[in-house]
Amino acid sequence: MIPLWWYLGLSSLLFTIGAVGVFIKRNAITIFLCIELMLNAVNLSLVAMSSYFGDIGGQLFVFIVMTVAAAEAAVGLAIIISIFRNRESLNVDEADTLRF
Amino acid sequence: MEKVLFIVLAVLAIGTALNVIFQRNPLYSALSLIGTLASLSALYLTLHAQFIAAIQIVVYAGAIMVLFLFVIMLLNVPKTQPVVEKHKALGFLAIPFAGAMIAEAFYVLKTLADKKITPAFAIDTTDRAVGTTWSVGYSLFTQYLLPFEVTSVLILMAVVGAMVLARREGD
Amino acid sequence: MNAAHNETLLAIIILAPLAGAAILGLFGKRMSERLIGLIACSTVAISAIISFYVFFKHRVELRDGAKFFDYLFTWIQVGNFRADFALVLDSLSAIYILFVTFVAFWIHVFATGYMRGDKGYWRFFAYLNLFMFSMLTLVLADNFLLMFVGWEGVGLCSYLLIGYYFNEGYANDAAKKAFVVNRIGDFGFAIGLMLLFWHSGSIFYFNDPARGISGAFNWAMNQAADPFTASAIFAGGLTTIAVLMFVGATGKSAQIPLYVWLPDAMAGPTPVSALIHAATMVTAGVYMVSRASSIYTKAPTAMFIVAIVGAATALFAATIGLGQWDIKKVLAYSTISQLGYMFLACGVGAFTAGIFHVFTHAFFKALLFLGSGSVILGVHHEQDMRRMGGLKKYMPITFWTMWAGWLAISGIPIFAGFFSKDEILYRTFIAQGIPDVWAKVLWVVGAITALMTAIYMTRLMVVTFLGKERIPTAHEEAHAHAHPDESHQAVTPPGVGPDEHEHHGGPPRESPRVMTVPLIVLAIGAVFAGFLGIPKGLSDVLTGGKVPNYFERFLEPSIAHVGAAPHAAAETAPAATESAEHSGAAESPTKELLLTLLSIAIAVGGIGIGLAWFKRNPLWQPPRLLEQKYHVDEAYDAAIVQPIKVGSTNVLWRIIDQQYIDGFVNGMGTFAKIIGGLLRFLQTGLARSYVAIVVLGALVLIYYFIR
Repeated sequence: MIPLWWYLGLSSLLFTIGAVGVFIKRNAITIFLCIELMLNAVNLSLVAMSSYFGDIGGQLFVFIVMTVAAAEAAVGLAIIISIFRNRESLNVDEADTLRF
Repeated sequence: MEKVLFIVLAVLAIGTALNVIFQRNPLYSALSLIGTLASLSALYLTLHAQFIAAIQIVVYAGAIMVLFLFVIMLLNVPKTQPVVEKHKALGFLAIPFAGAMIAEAFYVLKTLADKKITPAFAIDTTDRAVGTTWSVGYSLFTQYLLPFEVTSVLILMAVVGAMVLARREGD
Repeated sequence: MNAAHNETLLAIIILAPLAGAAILGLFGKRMSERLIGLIACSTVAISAIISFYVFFKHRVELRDGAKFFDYLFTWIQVGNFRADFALVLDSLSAIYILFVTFVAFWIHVFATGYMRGDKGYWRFFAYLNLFMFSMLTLVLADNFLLMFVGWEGVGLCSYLLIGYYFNEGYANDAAKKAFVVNRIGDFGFAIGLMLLFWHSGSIFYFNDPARGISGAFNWAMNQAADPFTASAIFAGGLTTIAVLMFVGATGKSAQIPLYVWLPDAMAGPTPVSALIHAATMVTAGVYMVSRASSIYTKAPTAMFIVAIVGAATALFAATIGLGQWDIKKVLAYSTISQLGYMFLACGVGAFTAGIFHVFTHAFFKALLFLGSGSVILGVHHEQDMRRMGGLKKYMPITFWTMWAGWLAISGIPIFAGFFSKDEILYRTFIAQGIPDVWAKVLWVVGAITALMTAIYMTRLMVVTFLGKERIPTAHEEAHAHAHPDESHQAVTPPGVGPDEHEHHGGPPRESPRVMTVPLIVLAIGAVFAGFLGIPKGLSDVLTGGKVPNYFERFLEPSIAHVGAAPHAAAETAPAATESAEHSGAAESPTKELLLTLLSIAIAVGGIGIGLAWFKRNPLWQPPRLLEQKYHVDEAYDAAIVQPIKVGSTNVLWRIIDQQYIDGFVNGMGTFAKIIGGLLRFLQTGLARSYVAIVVLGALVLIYYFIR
């Protein structure tokens, strides 16, 4: 029997990797991929808890997280496309006009 | 046996995840992420969450990641683009932050480590147990009907929003 | 106490005009004039028919003091405070709804002719119907708060209708003036009501066991009467309540010092002047004082103030009326003067006589106003009597009907005004509860006013209808309009009626039948309405006391008496329960008869003087002081309006508003700007720095929880 905390530990490791990715990457698409990674890490812990405690709510939450991720990907990628169209670059550090 | 399977899948997931962030080319990152998603899907199966495991592959790997790949290929960023190395120091913040995050996570998990929790799927082995398509579908259309419907509206808004944003002026 | 009954028809009386107003207000714009007129008149006709039906169905019970409630819903219920939307019919409100709906119906009919061709036809009748709703609510309300709703409602409609010709600056000014001046009075009224509630714990008039409410009048009747001293006014008791309510009445019923709005209100169309500013709305103050008679009879000081103000207003306005050239202004001042009479009657405790005068006045003053409207239309929107004259030849029906109104207001026997005015004068003469000298002084003032009334009304008739024609030709007309005559400029309405294109020129001509029929009906009323209330003394002499004073007998149960107890006093005729004053010691048929003869002599004398003088000198120049209305408007302007204006401009605006309030508001803005200026450096525009902040925040939060 696998202890629950193994799943949760794996989840937190993946989440940390995703967060580090957001920090160190400059490419907007890669940052997006890292966000997807973080979402999946959270999904893993939700499914693990749901299965261990026998509550279907967690898995439904995962279902909704996936939908939101899909919506977010659609809108986010559309934004990336229009940014790229304007600036010919995907570097998020260059898209810094919205500042003081 | 189970533990071996878990460890294999976990190593696979972490390896591909690290590959996502250490690849320079976003195309490889995306392909690598598909690997992570697939191993997570397998982990879901070990948790007896068959439905989630299936849509993990179908929706995530099949739809969302294809969308990513599509956009990456569509934009086709030239490799020769000079890399602007601004704010390099910000990247080094990642190390203390990651350390703190893992430390906090395992500090919490330490309290769980000693506890013996019998998973629900080990007790209830009927075909209506938590995680089966039946249980997910039943809950989705009874108790969680409103969130489900709201989700559909959200997707509709996202579709319209994406169309408006990505559209060229005058199209 | 008499039993309370139910009468569910009462709601229809007020709701029919409301429905008419709603229909006309919402859809009237697309209707034909004929349909609009039909709707407006029929809704008022429904009210009138139901009023008459209800009256005749219950006349016996009403005479015996029964009250008929129509509870619609509980409007407000907060703690002990309760106000219902409920109607009550007693003999006082019964008389009011009778003449209000009757006169209003005929004025509506008249207006369909008078307003013909006007662009705002539908708007006019929507307002008029709305006015009827408010007026009937005022009269039928079973508590003071609902009465106040009607009170404000008629004020609003009055405002809307005075400013009906909103393109004209003077009409807007007049409307605003009426509104603002009325606010002053309403302020007093509202405070009076609050004080009444504070003391009695109820704003209902009467007890209604069915709803478990006890009335304020019940409370008032169980109080000891306030002493007759000036300090009672400020003592915060019954006298204070009564005086504050009377402040409201001076506003609505145009008494000194708040009368100034009524003459200017003539800027509205003439049917409006007839309905609102002569027959119905302006008598609301008299209604209110009579309704609250159980409060007033306990407050002799307030009664005395009412009588003094009434008498002073009567005389004051009559003298101004003598000096006006505008036909409607003469009638306006005449109205103020007659309202003064009514308050004089209330002030000396003769509430029934006051209401009787309201009743007869409604007929003859509405008639005179409608007649003047007919004249104005006949001479193509000329209101200056100097440019009339000799109209009898052209407008015989108008002349003869106005002739009836003239004799009625002057007080010639058998005409309606004679009975009511004579009654008031007699009651003033024998008034108890106020010093005897004052009773005689008030009587003298009343008598002089009666004389002047006869004179200025004769002047109006003579100058307008008799003598040489002074109607200018088209050329002179243009010249005359340039004449800087204030009273003339103030009230010439813009082109209305079918003859707009022939505004200048054409001989005067009689009005169409739709306008003359109401005149005839009202003239009949002006002649015969007085027979409902023949004073006792006169009745004794002429018929041997066989004809009782129907009016007074009917009104009796709704009115409280000075020194309420003496119901036990000797009552001569068992058939007719006369009022307390009648059974008092001052009762003397001979004296009453003598005074009656005196007042006839005054009326005849006044008419004689008027005929003799104005037939020879129709254009006699009245004293400047009278023509300029004693400069009251100018005095108010200098004493009140200008100081407020200067104070508002220099203190409230320039200092308080611009410096303190603006300073505070701008200071808040500057403060936010400074804070924002500091905080904006957090916005680096760098996506990864935002991530850093979010992650840091998350770490801190988690640390906080697991600590």
